[in-house]
Amino acid sequence: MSFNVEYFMNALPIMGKGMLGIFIVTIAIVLVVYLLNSMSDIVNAIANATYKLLTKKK
Amino acid sequence: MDALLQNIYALDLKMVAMWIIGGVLIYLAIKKDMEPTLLLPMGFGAILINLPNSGAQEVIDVLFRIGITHEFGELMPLILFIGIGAMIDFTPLLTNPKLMLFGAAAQFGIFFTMCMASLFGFEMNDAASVGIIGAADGPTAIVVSQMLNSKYVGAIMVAAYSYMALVPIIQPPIIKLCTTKKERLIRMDNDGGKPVSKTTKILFPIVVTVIIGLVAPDAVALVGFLMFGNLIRECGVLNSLSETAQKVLANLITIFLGITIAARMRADEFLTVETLLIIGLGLVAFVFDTFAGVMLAKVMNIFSKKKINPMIGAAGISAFPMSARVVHKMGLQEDPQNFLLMHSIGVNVSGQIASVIAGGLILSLVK
Repeated sequence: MSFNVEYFMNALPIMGKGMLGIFIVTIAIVLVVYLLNSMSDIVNAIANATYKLLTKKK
Repeated sequence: MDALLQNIYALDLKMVAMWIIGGVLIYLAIKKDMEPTLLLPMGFGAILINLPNSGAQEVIDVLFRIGITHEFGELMPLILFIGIGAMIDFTPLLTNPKLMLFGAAAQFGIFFTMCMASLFGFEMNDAASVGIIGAADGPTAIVVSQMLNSKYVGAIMVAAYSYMALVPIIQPPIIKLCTTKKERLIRMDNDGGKPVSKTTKILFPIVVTVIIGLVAPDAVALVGFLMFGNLIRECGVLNSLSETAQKVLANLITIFLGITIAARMRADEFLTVETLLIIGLGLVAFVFDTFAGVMLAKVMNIFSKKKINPMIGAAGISAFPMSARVVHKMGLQEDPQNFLLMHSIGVNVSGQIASVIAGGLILSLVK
């Protein structure tokens, strides 16, 4: 086992891309959760209305 | 007589060393209560597999092939993830979604350690597998190291599970080193925030699976099984399945997982300089995970009016729920009226999601 600077230099961009990727995905999830929290009442109302509509037709 | 002694003659010192290592793992599991569900089977497996001409070798190899290798889709860790998903309550995270950022920051140790492992001469697939110890999550570490075809899965698992159990010893000094007394005394609101609707709790696992699946397709199995378990829990109509996933399923898989990992703890494979290096690098991963989580909280405090106790950033390391408890306990030590549990649990479960994202990204970037 010896030091390998070349391997290290190859790993650095992966570290950059990896951390950037994690933050992008996380921020996307955070935004969606905020949206879900604020929209859940609306989503519920739509789901209930659709259910009522479907059961009425039957 | 010769036939009886023949096997004893086949014994070598390396095997005895592995028995000692197995004994130490069993001791830590029983006496120190360190991740006993995995360290005990691993310790016993290490003894079992290192008996000369061990008759158990074949059956453990078959278990390893079916349960862990990429050939059969890393079945055991993925099924275990259903149980873990069913155990996790994401409500504290959904109440305060920005806590997820700490989970993201606390994956820095993975990538930093990957770079360090590369510097020490590990090939990229092995370096990334060593780095994933920092995910502080056994199933993720197994799946990633198997998909990257690393030959060090035994050492990686021993390091991952040992350090997860050592979180209460590793994290406090790092947290204290990175924070001032004044910062550790910061109080945070404990009003519970706006209640989270059932619809949000049901939609969350589905939405997270879709988002992560679109960005990191290699992580779909990991996140999908985790979130499937959570959906069973939150849907409200599958309570019996949820209970089974949390208890029976998780326990059953755990029994086999530990002893199966021992297939990669043969003396000739395990007793190497690389193993020592991996165990050292695993510690680096946990230290830098903790450091990065705390530092993000400190940076956010510069820009935020409502101050965050930076200690909660350390809970972004995925080791659930030990890390959250460590932070809560440290908060109480500084100020007996400062209850950080709700926040630290939120950060801790976000670390679980972030570690899966990190695993998926590593697979996408390295494979």
